[in-house]
Amino acid sequence: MIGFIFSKVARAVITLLVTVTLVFIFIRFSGDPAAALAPPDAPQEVIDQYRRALGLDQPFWVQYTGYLNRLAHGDFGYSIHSGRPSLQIFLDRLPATLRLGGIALVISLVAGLGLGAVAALNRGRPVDRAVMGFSVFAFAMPNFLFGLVVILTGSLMFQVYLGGQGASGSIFGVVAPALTLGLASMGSYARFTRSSLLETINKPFMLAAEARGIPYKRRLLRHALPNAAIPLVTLVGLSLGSLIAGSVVTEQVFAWPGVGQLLVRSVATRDIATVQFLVLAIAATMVIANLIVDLLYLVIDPRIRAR
Amino acid sequence: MSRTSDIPVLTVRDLTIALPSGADRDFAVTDIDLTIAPGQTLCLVGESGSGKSVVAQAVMGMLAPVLRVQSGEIALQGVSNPPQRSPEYNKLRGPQVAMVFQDAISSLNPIQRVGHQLEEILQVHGVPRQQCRGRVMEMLAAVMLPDPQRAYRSYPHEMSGGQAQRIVIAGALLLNPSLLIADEPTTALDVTTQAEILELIEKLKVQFNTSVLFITHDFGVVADIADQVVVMKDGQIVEAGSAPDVLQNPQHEYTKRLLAASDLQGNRPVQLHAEPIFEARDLSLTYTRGMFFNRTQVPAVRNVSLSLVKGQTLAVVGESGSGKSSLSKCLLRLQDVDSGQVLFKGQDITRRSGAELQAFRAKVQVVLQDPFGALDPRFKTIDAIAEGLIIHGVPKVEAHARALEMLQLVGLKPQAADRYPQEFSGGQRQRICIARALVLQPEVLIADEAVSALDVSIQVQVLELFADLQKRLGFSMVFITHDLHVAAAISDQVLVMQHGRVVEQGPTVEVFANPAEDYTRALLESAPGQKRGRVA
Amino acid sequence: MKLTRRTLLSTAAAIGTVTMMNPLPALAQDRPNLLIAVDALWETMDPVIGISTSGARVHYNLFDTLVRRNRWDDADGTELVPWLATSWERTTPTVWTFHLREGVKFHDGHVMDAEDVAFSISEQRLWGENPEAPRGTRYANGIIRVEATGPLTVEIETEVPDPSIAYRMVTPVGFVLPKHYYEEVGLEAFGQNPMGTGPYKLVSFDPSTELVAEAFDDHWNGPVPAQSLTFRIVPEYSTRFAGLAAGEFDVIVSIPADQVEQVRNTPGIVALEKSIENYPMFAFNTLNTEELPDNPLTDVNLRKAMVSAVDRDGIAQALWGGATYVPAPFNFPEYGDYFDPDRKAAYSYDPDRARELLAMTDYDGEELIWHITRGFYPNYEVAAEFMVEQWRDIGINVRIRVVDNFSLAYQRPFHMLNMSMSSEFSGDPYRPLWLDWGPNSSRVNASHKTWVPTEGYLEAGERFAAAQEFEERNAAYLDMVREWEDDTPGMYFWRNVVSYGVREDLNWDPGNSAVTIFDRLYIK
Repeated sequence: MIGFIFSKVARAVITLLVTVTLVFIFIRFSGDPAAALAPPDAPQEVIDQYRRALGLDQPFWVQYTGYLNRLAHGDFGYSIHSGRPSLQIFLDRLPATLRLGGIALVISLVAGLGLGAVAALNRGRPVDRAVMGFSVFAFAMPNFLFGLVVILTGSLMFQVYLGGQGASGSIFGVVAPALTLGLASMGSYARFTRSSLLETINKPFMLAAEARGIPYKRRLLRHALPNAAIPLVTLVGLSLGSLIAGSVVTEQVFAWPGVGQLLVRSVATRDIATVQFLVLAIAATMVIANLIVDLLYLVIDPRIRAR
Repeated sequence: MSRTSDIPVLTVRDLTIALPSGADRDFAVTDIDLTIAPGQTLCLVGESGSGKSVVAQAVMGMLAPVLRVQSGEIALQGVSNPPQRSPEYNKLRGPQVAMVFQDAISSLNPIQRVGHQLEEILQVHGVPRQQCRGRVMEMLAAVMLPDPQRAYRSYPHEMSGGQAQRIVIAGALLLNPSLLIADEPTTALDVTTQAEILELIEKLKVQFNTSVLFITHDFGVVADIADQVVVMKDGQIVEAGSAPDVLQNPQHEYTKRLLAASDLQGNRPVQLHAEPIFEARDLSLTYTRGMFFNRTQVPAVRNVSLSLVKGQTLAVVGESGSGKSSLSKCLLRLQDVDSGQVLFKGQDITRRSGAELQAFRAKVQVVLQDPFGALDPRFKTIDAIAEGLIIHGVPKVEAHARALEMLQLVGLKPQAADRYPQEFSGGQRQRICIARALVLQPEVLIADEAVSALDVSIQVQVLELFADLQKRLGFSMVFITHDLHVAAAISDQVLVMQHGRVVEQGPTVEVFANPAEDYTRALLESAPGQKRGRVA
Repeated sequence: MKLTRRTLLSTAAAIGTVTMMNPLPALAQDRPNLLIAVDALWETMDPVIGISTSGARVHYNLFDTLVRRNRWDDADGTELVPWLATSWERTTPTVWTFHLREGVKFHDGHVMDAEDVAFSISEQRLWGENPEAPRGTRYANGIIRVEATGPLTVEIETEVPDPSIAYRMVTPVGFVLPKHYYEEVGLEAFGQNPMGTGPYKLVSFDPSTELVAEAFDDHWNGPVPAQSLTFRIVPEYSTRFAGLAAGEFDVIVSIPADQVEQVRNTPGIVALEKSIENYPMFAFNTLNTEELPDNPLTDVNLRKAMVSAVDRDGIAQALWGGATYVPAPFNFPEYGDYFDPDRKAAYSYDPDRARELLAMTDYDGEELIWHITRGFYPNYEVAAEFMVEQWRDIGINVRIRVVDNFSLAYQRPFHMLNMSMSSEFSGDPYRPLWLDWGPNSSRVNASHKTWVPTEGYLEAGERFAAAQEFEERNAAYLDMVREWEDDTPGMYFWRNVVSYGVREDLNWDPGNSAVTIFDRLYIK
């Protein structure tokens, strides 16, 4: 057990270190941040001034070790533009993203499980085909396009603006973006739930439960669904990645002031410290999410616990 | 609940169930008549596909929608059953009729504690919540689980097959049903566990005054427990009567064949001339399990010596965990031993490697238990058989010719050559596997539970094939099995293993007739059908 | 100088009249709450540190400059209007004195005085060694002393005589910041909680979401027409459009050029296209460098051939309709008297002449690489495709390489480099000619430099910079243009276009500008 946790943590640290290094390199070789910071036709002196201020005049290796050293001391750098700590900027944006992502996850899970179950129980009937058709559509639809269609339909046909509502936003403002963000996951959850449920329904213990006089509904809800949902945990863990990627696009389309939008803006304005920190934070989220999935398996599946 | 009346617990009249069009026959079962009186055990005997499980499902009201009841009537306690799959059945299942299945572990929800699963049965049938736990604990004690408290908290995977079967039986009897249907409940179990479970069913039958419909293919089991016997073949009843009548005086050919398969005595004469081809001396093997702090040493094979005489068959028997599979790996040099020697034709090959090991492996072939997993579904039969030859450098044309010859030798038609494994039944596939092993002209064949997955009458056919081929081709055989019937049918010599050690070995005829060790005796006695001494 | 004086008198009168006519602030509930959807908000709202298009949309509503341009009557705003400064005069050839308006209040009620102005244009902030606001440095070019000489008078001294100081007080360096508050909270906090004398007072600023400001009813030039302004970030155009169409937003910015028609056809919405004082162009790389040892563009005739081969008027018309046009080099309407509507470019569309010029070169079809920053200037890439076709027609082989940002565009080798030049207001073509092409410009001395100015150009430029009188300056200006065209180090396309979508019943017009101001002069 200790060995297990140790190796997991070690792997997480290495993953993060590699990520940080790659981002550090890429961001410096994809264009001079100082030039991006200065106006496009700024004179050379201004660019040089920025370069000095950012430490970009230092040799690459010095910049890198300095960066790692600061990271180790919990200093995640400061935004080039506002001078505020990157961590603080990130934390300011995080609640919005968590709210959107959390609601998207709940919507996609509830709807995905529900649709998948309905399809499985009506296997081969029109309902099943409709659900599977929807799932293909949901999975294949780029959320950028879907978001735009939703927003334009709302405004041009119903005179309702479905984008981000700003500080005064109501809770309803989250539905459209969350639906957009969760759509792809919803499709894959539905599909997966269907096949997993079909497989589970035909397991011997389901037959045995029937033979014990347990009513249909109860067999389905208490026995089939929990078993069918176990492999879904892995899928949820995996889809967290697509949720994060999707939030970048969705937040952009719906003017949702979250981490995804911050990332787009920071990349566009070459706010290197912020980009570096964001990628680090996203990588850490993924690593932690995977760890949680592993641990969650221990909790929900007694067979794995025994190993 | 009064069960003293003479009303039959179960009556099945003229039951005919249609198969969907396109199946290999029109009806799953035809004109089935069964009656079970209170307190009686009826054994429904037949091979898989004979329709015996369909009858059980129909009684449970759980026929698959594709199977249609054409005619007939099923009545429990004299009252006609509702239509198949009707929700009303939920009131009958449990209080009136209960069923246990072959694989007990997989008939339990893997992610719920078994205690909760048992309580649920009571709850859905309206037993007040506060009484459930007490009832379940009583029942767990009644099925003689050593630690009912612990069993209550366990998950299915934490139990052995025998324990799980006790749990499932406890669940079936919780609501005191008048009829218990047991569908091959002991087939997957060791002989000793099988005997325990059969004993348990007998005990509970009396204790709870329950009738039993017992489905089996094994006449040994029939001999142990049946009051009435019904033999089914291809969806029809071929013979029915009281157990002593059918066992002593079988009328139908099919019944006779099934009876013969449950015979338990060596049938090969002891041979005095003995030239060993394959020997093991003092083999020991210890596995290391776990990591870091919880490292443990598990001895799998302890000081085992054996000797295989040329042209003969040595059966290695033992319960699961006795070390017989580890032994076979050592003999095949798939596993390096800790100590001891393996000798092939007098030469020590224990530490050989490279080309010498390859040469040895060409001379020693293996046939495994699972004929489904052993064949690559993308290979045609002929290619699967010829593959080994081609690997050993035989030209393709010649390899195919020899493969075709071998195919016919194992009793398959030449047309089978161009078909794929999934088009064959289990028995046919095992024949392909045997052909694949023998085409390399081995001197020794190691068969590891090679017939365990097959139906009993197919088993007989395959065992006959082994014997026939051995006579023609002259190879020697190590036959590893948990089934004493199989050992009796095939071997000259037998070696009994327990906990990695050799308990007893000697000529099969002698060992089975006069076991010297207590363990061997216990093993033989627990085989179904031995107690009543039917097989004299 | 007569221009200035005339302007002063007329507009002072105009403002007085308007103020008299609206003596009372409008009732709060009558005023609209305006919601402006912008593509971005600059992270800091210090109006000089945060010089940017996305900042300027806000700055002029929170702050006032010393001097302002009148775009409410004239879209090009050639007229100067006294704003926080009521008048100014030249005391010596290098010293200007500004007289400040009395009783102007910052949002905290503090009254503005000369110290605030001196602070705003100080050495520490703008023109010292390591200025706090490096983005403002070039607007403060040449200033060597700023001093409060009385409660409401400020002196600005320049290194050399500079007739355009008043014009510079229109740019961001002319913003007056509250010294007391700035020094109290510091540079960073000021950027997050800016305070000025402008018509709107900050309520909240979240750089990730929105900036909210409410009417400052003590504004010296009230009444303030809107109850509040909210600048909300909506990065995606379609979303901005949807919000405008649904009635959520009152104003949206940055409509892609190919979408303007759609906005125009949506009921309840007006589309505004404004040609502004910024000119997309490309620079020819006229230098032989290590990366480009045999650069055919060192030959001026090839450059002239290329300019002559392109039908810029046709392309602009095709892409923009009437929204903009192609000016003759440096002949911009915002320069008042320097602007000559009749002057023509020396090299305009003439394929025959282009072929003749090409024949005079050694060019034999080698590929010329044109670096273009993706999506940076509206319609630039489309226009470039047209141009490449026209060059191919006469046998010049240009390949477009679209890159993701400017620093990639700056990486050699390239033969042509995209950019835009702003004609920032100095009342004359000083900036586009001398700051953008002169010896200190990035065209000439940056790492991505492309040109060495000719002797004649430098001579005319120095003459231009030193001249104090219009006639002399104008002559030098025309000489510079001639020299520039004679060497053709680049080609200007058209006046850049910004676009707005506006709710139909909001009578607001920003003039030819990317700056948005929502005071009573712009909202009618």
